[in-house]
Amino acid sequence: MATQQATTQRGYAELVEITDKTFRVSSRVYREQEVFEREIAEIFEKTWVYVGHDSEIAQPGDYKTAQIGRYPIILTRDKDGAVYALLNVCRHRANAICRENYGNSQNFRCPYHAWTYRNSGELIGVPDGGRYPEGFSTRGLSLIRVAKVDSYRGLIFASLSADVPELDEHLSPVKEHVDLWADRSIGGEHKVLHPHRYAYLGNWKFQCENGVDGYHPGIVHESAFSTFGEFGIGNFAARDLVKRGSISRGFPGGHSTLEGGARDGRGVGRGLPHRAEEYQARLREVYGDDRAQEIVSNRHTFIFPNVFLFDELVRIIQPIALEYTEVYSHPFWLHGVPDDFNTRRLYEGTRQLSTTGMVNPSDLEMFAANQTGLHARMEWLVLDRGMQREEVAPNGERMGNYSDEVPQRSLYRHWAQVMARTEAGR
Amino acid sequence: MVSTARITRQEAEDFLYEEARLLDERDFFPWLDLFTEDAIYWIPIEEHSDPTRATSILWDDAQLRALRVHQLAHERNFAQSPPSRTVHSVTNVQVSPGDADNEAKVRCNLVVYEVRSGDHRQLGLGDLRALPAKCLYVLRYEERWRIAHKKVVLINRHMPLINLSFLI
Ligand code: FES
Ligand SMILES: [Fe+2]
Repeated sequence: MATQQATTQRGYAELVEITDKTFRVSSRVYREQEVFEREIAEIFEKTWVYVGHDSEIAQPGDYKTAQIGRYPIILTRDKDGAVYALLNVCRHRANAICRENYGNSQNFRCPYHAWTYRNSGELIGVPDGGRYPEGFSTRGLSLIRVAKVDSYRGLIFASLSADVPELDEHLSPVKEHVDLWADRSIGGEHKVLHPHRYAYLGNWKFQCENGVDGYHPGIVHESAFSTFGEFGIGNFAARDLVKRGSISRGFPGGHSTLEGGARDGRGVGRGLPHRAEEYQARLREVYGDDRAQEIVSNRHTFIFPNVFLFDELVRIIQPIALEYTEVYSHPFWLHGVPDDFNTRRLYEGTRQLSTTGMVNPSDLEMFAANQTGLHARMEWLVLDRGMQREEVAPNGERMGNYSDEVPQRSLYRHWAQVMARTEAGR
Repeated sequence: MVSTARITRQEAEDFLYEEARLLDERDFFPWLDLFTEDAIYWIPIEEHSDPTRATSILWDDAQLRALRVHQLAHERNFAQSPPSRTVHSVTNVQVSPGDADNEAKVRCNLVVYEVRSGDHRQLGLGDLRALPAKCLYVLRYEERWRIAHKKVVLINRHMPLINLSFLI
């Protein structure tokens, strides 16, 4: 979308107003039920969304339940290791079949009338099947497979619509950053742990904006950072490790990053051994100095519309209602590094970003306050910070300083396209 | 230490009531002193997991407990502004011998009621919440009884929880 002239179109695209100097988002995007319903239908139920990590269903028979938009799904691994995303909906009378978060099973038995399915979806048992009329066949009654499921570097994505670009293309603008995140493990994949689950009273997009918002931390998290300071705990002390300094980026497709200095882990967790230097030395050995520096840099990578890759966590955003959002933050264990280094990362992630974290709850408080303010129906929200100084690459990648609203603009440029596309007769 | 480890139920109750009072009156620095230097305060997600390897809602050593209390005292702690009011209600106290000579185990039920005041019409404020839990303490006698381990097993620990920035 060109930024040269005002690009106001009719309908949903009109909710994002872009000129060469201004970028405004209508408050309607956060406060109208109709907009929320369309987001669920057009974004969550028609494009790629993150559903889980390979390591959550590592063994044959493992499964995990999840939700795409409002569709309950089961992510399974069959006996041959193939991954399926199945609607968690019985083909008899639409009962939800599996009611656990995680488990291991070759079959799923519907609790209502005991129709039974293999973990790849085939209907293999119908009690008292002889009562069905002639011609009744279990063949067309497999659990419905989500149209697309694919993974990259252990991250599993699915789309309820087949009419989407390949996952590779969807991720291509931000792939380099996904690789940097995945390369934190040495010689293997991350192992994703059970999530911190929390919720907030606000629209889902607040969390998408906030995780790559470099303008707020010094303010919203002042009480955390000044406390860390008093105790001599370095937060992003090792800024010298990062060549470029602290920046934000926005990509076509709504993805973005916020990149800062590396954490040195100083002072944290007196009982836990300090292995950061050893880890960084190992990374340099494996990847070389330059790439090792990039890998250990603090990096928040947002993949539109529902997942963040953080240094210590994978964070999934699940819209539930217009003003109510759930977040599932999975710590992960690095492969190929000492256990106590991982324990330290777990401790640090819990200290800052868990349900009880010293950093995270203040963000959630801002989201509730933001939603409260929007009840006033003030027309426009202002997102043009750093707009005139952002660098635009030929491939559409944009870069600004840490506190610029580059990521948020990239989110809403793409949001407007997706929301408006059927209006435009796509 | 001469068989000091025998704690009566009434002594255990007095100890837990005092902890509850300190938390409810937001008297956090004396609360820190209830713990031994090596104490861990743990709120697990999986009750029988190993907190060095599994996700926990909270997993605090002495340093992190102190950090939290300092943050709670900070004027710009937005998750606690306005602050939580709490009632810690302790019941079903049972005592048993500890693993060491100077230790005792105490088990109790806990319900923490919490509300944040302020402009109650705003989202997130004014909602009265109840957090029921089973608690397991290891108390150690070091001149007086102290908490050597505190584990709080919330019954809704697998659910999405909202703003746990106060002390349970
Ligand atoms: S609804 Fe599943 S067997 Fe009847
Ligand atoms: Fe934040």
